[in-house]
Amino acid sequence: MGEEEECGIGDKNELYISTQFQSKLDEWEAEDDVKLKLQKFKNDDDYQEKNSVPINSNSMRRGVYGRLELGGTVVMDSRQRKEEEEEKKKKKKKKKNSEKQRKRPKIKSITSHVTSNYSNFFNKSPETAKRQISILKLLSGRKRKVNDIIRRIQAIEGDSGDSGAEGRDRKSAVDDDDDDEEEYDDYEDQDLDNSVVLYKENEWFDIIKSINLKFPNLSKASKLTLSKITTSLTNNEEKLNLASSDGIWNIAANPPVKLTKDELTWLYDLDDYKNSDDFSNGKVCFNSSQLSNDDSEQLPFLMTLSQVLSGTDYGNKITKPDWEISDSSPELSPLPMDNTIVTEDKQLSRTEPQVKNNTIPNSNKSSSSIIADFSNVDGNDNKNRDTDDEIEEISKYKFKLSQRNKSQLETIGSSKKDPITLDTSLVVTNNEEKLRQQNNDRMEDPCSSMPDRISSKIQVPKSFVEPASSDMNLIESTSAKSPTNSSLNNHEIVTSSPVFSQLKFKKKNELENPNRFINQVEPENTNIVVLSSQESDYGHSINQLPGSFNENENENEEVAEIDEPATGSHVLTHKNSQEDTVYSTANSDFFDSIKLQEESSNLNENRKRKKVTETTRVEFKGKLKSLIKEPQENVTVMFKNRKRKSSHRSETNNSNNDNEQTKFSTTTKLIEVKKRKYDLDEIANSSEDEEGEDISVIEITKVFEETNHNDNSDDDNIIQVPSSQKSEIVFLSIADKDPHENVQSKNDSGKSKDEIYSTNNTAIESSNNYTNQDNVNQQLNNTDDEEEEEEYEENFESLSTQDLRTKLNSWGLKTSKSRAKMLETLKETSKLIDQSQLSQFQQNNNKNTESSQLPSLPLSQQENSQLSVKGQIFDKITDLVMKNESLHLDILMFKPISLKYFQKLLADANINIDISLVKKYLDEQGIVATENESVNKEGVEIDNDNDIPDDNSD
Amino acid sequence: MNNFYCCYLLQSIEKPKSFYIGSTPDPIRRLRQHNGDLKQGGAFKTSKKGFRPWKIVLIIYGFPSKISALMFEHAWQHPYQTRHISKDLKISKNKQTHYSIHNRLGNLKLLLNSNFFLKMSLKLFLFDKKIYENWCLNKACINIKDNIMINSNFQNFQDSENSQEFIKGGNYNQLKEFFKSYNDNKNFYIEKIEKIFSSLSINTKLICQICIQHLDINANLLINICYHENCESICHLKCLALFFLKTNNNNNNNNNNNNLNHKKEFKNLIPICGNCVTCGKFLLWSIIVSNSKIIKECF
Repeated sequence: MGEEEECGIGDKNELYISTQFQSKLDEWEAEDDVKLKLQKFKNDDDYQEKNSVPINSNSMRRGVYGRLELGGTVVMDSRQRKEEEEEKKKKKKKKKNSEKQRKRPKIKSITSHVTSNYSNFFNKSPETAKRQISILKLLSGRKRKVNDIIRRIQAIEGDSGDSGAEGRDRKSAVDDDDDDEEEYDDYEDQDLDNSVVLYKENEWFDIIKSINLKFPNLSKASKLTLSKITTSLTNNEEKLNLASSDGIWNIAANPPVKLTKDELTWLYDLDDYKNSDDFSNGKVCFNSSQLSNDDSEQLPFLMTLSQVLSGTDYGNKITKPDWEISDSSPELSPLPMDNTIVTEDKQLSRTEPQVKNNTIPNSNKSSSSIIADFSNVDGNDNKNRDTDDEIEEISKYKFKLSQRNKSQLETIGSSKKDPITLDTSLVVTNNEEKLRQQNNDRMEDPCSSMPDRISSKIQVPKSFVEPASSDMNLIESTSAKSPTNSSLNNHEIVTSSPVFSQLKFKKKNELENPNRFINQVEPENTNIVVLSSQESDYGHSINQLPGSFNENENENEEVAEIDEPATGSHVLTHKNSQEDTVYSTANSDFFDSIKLQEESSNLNENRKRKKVTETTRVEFKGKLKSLIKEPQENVTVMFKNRKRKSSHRSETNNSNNDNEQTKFSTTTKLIEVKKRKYDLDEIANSSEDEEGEDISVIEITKVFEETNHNDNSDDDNIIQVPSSQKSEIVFLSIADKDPHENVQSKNDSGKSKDEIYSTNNTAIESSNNYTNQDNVNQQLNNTDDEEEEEEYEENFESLSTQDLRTKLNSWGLKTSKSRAKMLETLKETSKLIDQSQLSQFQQNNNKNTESSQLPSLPLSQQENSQLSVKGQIFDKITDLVMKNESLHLDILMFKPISLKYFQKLLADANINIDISLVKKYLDEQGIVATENESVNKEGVEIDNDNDIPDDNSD
Repeated sequence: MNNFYCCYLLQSIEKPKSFYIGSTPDPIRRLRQHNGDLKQGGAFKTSKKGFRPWKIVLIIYGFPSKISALMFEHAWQHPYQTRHISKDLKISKNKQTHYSIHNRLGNLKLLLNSNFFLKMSLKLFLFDKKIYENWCLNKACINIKDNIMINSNFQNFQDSENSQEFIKGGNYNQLKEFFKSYNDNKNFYIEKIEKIFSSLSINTKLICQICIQHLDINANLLINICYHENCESICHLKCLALFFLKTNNNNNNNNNNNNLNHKKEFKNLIPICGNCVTCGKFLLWSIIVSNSKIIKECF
């Protein structure tokens, strides 16, 4: 419900409600009206029936709305009509009356009250005007705004030349307005004398009566005020202050802008005894003595509670340490929650790591409880705890936990305090300065020793910190050093030491350091207790000092190798150890490959000592798919891409092992198949090698101890894949005799097969550059192109659709849904490209990599083939374009070219490629092509520039 | 503004995080439309309350044709789906992520690096220092290639006396300065041409420096005059193009052995740059083309 009746204002029975209520009321009224209407319809019926003229039942009946109807038409006598009309009118009148009555409920809205009473502002007496204004101010809450408005109105009205009396009044009102604002200086002088406009005298007396009734036991102060008001009321009847007084309401509602000295003393309970030290530190503990100083200059007397607290009893009772750490210092070491600082020398000597937050010897219950409190204390939180009990002044640098804790809770701040951060204050009386300095040291202490999370919380304002003097003190752990001035001279150490040593240092010092912050976690504990791996975490965190973890790098490496879960989340960055790269994640193919090379080479070397090695290098492209053991005359030895799955590798490893074993057993041969990117034998764990089908080269080394193996003569092995028509690699074994080489295999279907491919035989399709083997080369070169083509075509059709797709992908072409189309595209492109060039391209690339010995991104098999296909096609198109001079010229001039024209051109030249590929070509060459039909004879689009400004609106 | 078409980046002065990309042949007029000074001409999206006034912070010009500018603008507005930015390099992968200035600049850089727009050797002009700082900050870590010229002029030409400040905000003065310099360059070239041709009598034959054949001005062939000072070499446009292409190809082949990049470089139809035959100074192809257009117009 709304507010209760306000005594003395208006009718006693009037109530003021909010507008929401008012609207609800209106709704209810409306509903009531509807209900009434409905009832009346009912009543109408009855009424009609009662007074109804006898009607022939034949024809007349009551229809809708009670009208007489005859056969659907309304029939009424004129008399009846009149009667009805009159009745209606009466009802309406009744309605109106009732509505009016209803509209004057007991509950009355404020607006209605005000408008009814005060609607005519300037016509009524000044008193009412005053009241209106005061009510307006009260309700609007914006006194000054209202004042301004009123002033302006009055000025306007005054200018317009109203009657003298009113003008006077307004002017006086204006003047009083001005006076009012100044009057705030003296609270006492304020407009208590000036009338309380809000209430009329009668009302006021009523108010007082009711107050006295309800609150029989008023405090003196309140009684005083009330009496004052009454006197002022009585006195000020004659005064015509329009806008002067705002009444008690407004005075109480708004804080005074400036407080007098007395007010402040009363408000803040100040005493006169403050040290000047405090003030020099910048702490805002102000005295009443200070109040006498210039108010506005030094300290803003309107300040936050925290500032206030700093100077209040709270502060007075505690002898504040000068060295309070307020906020914005650079990172400080964390507080030991474990109270190791505590006070006694014994504790100072403690160097053991202490567990966080657990009960510690010598800790009090209170301390533990306080710990809980600490966690809640924010910078903004100024919990004013009773420190009366606590503060003991210690002669030495011993602090009782309780003291420390509680004093810390003070969060005594300075005016420049960073609200987010904490400050701690430990109560040290005798050596306050030193402690403060000590704190300063701590602040300068690069808290990079701290983990990041802590550093963010703690900030001590450097401005308050006086520079370290020779007396800089940091508490040390050694018991030998008494907590005196001389004891804590570790400042230098602290600042200069690298991080990790700092951590260790902390072991000693931070136990005792009083300047811990409440919310901090003690790094020591965490560090010490934690696994070494976590230490390495610290070492690796970005924000910490660099170069400090030399000690731990080894640990890191170890950790890396072990792959502990503790560091699982921790990223191993650019580490030196080889093994790291093994564990590194994707995109590390290159590194792997290099490393594998190295390692394999190492291994080779090792083995070479023992055995004779023969190396053959086979370059091929395509994917290794399967190995077929059986030596065949043609083809069929196929490799699979090793990299696809780790399982694959393991299997291959196994296979290798098997093979090796067999070989060892049988022929004592070691054949190592090196692949550039992965070493079969070596790295069992290198399971992270991902994707890429990158096999571009296979190095096959044979190591044999004995020379019994004539099989493995120089006529070696395997080799390669001249570009196969299939996406699989065709590994043709040349000639011989080599029984086994280890190669992994995998099927298209993804199953891995371990097959040893045999190195027999036969003619191989020609390809160009293979190392070592003339025989091979000869054999390779023997094939005819025609045969190739035929074979290829045959192969196209013999391929399954899946294979077709993969083939298309390998060439970078677009696949289509129907097999026929795919076949077409393949055929077309195969015409365009030269298979040999594909391989050549491959080899060239590989050569480049080899020769350059520089890290280069190994392209996948597919990428290579795609590029080569693309390149060939594109080059052909460029040749075509160059021949067409006009077209070339237009292109040179950056003129847009019609796409259709271009396509025609290509078609004429029997280059039938997909339009997407054409577009790619155009993009690559920087040719602007449009589908616009506006072409001139040459097929070049007309320039549209310039004539009409054409802005492209988004 | 003959043959001038530019893409621009608008920044709202009221809300500095809001940007707008557009293209126009007349930035000043367009800016007035954006700011509401000219009612005709659309700019609906920038007519939202609370965003006006706008200012142009960045201009990309040097487009050889209107269509290319439109393509650029569209690509820049839709970086998540444009084909000119390869999937590997994408910064913005969906509609929501391309609104920040860093992403916009990053996408701009990506576009400038794309093969398609690289050939045009676009130029960049910055008007705002903060944008420039962001550009240098390069949050997306993209480096653009050499043949893109960047100029800037951060001075705010606040002309208090000028009553022609149509609307508050809008850096019209900067734009005017820009066009001044642009036209100055153009005029410089035109003067040079006029000098040369005025000095020629009817009888003197012009010879293409490259093919050493007769060069007929009146014919429909396009010619080129080196745009550096003191060099008056004239040649057929096509000859020059072929010359550039050859030299570039040779350079590429030489580099291939040491090339770290496996990617085969396709034969180019359009050269990007080259050296003048006589004076040996660096020439950008796009500039050559625009100059030859000017020559054609003059004669």
